[in-house]
Amino acid sequence: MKNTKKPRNKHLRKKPVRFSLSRLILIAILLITAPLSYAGFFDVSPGKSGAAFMRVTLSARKLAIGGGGTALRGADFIETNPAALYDEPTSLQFSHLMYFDSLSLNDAKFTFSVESADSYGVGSINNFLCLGLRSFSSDEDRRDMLTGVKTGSFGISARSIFLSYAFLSGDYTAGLTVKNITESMDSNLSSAAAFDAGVIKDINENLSLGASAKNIGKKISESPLPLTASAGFAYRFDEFTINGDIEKTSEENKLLATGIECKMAPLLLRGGLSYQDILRPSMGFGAVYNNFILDYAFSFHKYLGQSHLFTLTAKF
Amino acid sequence: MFKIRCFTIIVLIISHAGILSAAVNILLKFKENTPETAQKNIISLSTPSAIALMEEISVWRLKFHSAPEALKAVKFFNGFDETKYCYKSRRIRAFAPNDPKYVDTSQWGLNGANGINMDQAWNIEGSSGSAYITIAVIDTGVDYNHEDLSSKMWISPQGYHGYDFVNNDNDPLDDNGHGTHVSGIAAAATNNGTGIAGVSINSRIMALKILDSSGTGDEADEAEAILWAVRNGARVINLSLGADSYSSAEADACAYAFNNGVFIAAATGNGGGDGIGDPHVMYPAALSTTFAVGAVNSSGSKAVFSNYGPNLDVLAPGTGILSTVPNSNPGGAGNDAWDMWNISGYLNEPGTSMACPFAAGLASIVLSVRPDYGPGDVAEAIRRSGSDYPAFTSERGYGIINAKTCIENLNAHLAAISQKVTVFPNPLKVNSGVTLKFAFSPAPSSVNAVRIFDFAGQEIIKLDQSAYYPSSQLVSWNGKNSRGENVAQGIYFYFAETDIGQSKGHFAVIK
Repeated sequence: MKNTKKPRNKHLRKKPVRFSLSRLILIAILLITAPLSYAGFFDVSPGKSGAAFMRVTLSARKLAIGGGGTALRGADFIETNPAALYDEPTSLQFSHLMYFDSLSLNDAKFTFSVESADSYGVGSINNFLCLGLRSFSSDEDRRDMLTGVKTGSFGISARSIFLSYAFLSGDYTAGLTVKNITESMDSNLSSAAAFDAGVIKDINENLSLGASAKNIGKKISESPLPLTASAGFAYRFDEFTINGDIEKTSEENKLLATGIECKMAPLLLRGGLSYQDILRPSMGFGAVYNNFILDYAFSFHKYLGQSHLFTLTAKF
Repeated sequence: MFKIRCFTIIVLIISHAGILSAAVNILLKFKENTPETAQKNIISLSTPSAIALMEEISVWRLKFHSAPEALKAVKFFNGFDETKYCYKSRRIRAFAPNDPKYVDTSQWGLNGANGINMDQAWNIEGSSGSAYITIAVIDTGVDYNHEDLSSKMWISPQGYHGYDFVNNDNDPLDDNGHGTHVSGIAAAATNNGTGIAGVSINSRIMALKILDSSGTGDEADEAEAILWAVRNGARVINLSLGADSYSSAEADACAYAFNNGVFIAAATGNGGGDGIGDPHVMYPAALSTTFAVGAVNSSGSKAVFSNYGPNLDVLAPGTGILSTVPNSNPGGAGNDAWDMWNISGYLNEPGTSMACPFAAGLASIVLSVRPDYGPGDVAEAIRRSGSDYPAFTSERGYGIINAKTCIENLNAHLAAISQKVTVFPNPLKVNSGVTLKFAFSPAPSSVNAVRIFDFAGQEIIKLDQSAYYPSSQLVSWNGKNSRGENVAQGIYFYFAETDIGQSKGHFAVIK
């Protein structure tokens, strides 16, 4: 029997254990190793994978804790691990990133649940879904190849539309995302379909483990998608939560991330670090007012400067 | 006291600005942030007889009565921290080669009314080419003992001038004459009081023999020769040869050269047996990785025999072209139907084969001025010098190439730089043979690093001083990451650090 109601505190849930821990580990290993079958996965040839905008963090909470969060739950982490969607209340979330060199990216997500009959036909289960859109566009100066003189302008845009689904399976949650990625640059238009998959396992009330594989799909604009495998943990103390993650994207260097989130009513204070060739510190806060949450994150890049990310979430 | 000095300077500027002439001048430029009053104050400490300021480039021209006085002033000004540069103005002269065949106007392709305007091009500083730029002539070999070629031959560390793929040895001596003729057009010894002048005064000729004494050869040898040329450092390849049909190996070899920064000029072909040009460009000239050169006559019309079509790039002189040939029968008596020789060592010949090395020679000069250029840049620079540019027709391409216009415009970007760093082209098309240029204004004396990051902020390559070309004030990037692989389409960020300051921004790469 699967759950028939939406439990609000998953750590206190009592549910039958249908799947052993070893099976979970097996699935996690599959999730992580599936991308590795791609020939160039372990290669480091930076800049070779396409749709790089998919690798930009577009949730203030996630950015503030270093950009990881594979084992954390909430709408903020769906694009890291679709299993994070499980048990989320209906909500609407908008993010705006003020990125390097005056560029900006936007993201919108709508999470909701739909009841359906369980596999025995005697009860009902909640299907947790999220519909999302991330987008980027910019007008660029067109410059002559020999003289550098501005000769006009051209447009660049990129977007990803995705649908995520999360479910409880035994004592772990799993999720799946399907998405369509489109890039338009000057007169070049290219698109690709891809999917993500992930699991989160609550080892006990404090410790969760997560693993995911993202952007599994074919090429876009003649380049491979940024196929990414990530694994992480989250450990909850009474007043704060810490997380640690490791992420490997095909052709890119490994990324290590760690962060902390502290409750200091009425705020949530966050800080994090990520390392991929260079150390990138980040910090931020969340403020809750009735059903609204405003999250802000600041991230610093040694060479490219600062980026600021705002996320507004409305829960229903 | 200061006011008196300034007053004196102003009086000198007003009274002498228009009458500065020969004598001994020095050129002085202060660092960017030096106030003009401070500049005048420093200048007032010296005793020039006349002063003028070239405002557009902030360069002071100071006239002195004698050379020792001027040299003393150079030393004096270079002692100030505020001085960016100061040196004695060089004496320059109009360049007119003394080669007799050039002087008697036998070489209309260089200095005739419908030639490539080489006589004027040579007056531009840096237009002599460079001994470090090698033109590989893939042909019947080269008479490397010729009086007008021997000093211009490339020499391998082992002492050879190239390779003979026909006989598989290290002696690419010409047994036909065609390759020797082609080589002389591109880079015969110039201003040596002997014979003819070549387009590129300083470039070297690498002889790669793939055609036998009858002027025919094997495609496999051609592909191998192209790879050999790239491996041995040629920056320009001349292919005055071709066939009617596409060949995969030839295309792959040309693509390899192109992707390794080597410019290939190829002849469009001379029509069929009827001597009338065919409406299609022969291969390899028809490939996108080569530069297709057709022939024009001395009246400025496309030569009747010159093949044409949508793949044609430009026209160059190709009728009655005087150039070097062996002065004895190279192929022996049995080969007279094919041999190209004359006892004088010089001969007039027609053909797109003769037009092609005009472009190859010019390309070698372009690369000597702009070593940062990729083959796509070189091609575009030559195209834009075409007499018909920007108009294009299948019969004439972009028209007759003009060396003067081409070389004059090679640093045109300097006028367009109005900020710290201008990045162009935008977008950069990878695999087009075009390099991305980070042009600096003002010119730094050293570039610490230009770091390029992908859209997620990961560094993909770090360029350093070795990628900096001070004469063009730019750093160039070939669109490849630190592993030498092409980067993906997208937006990339850069962070540039020079001795002057830092700058950052972004640009786009498309496929």
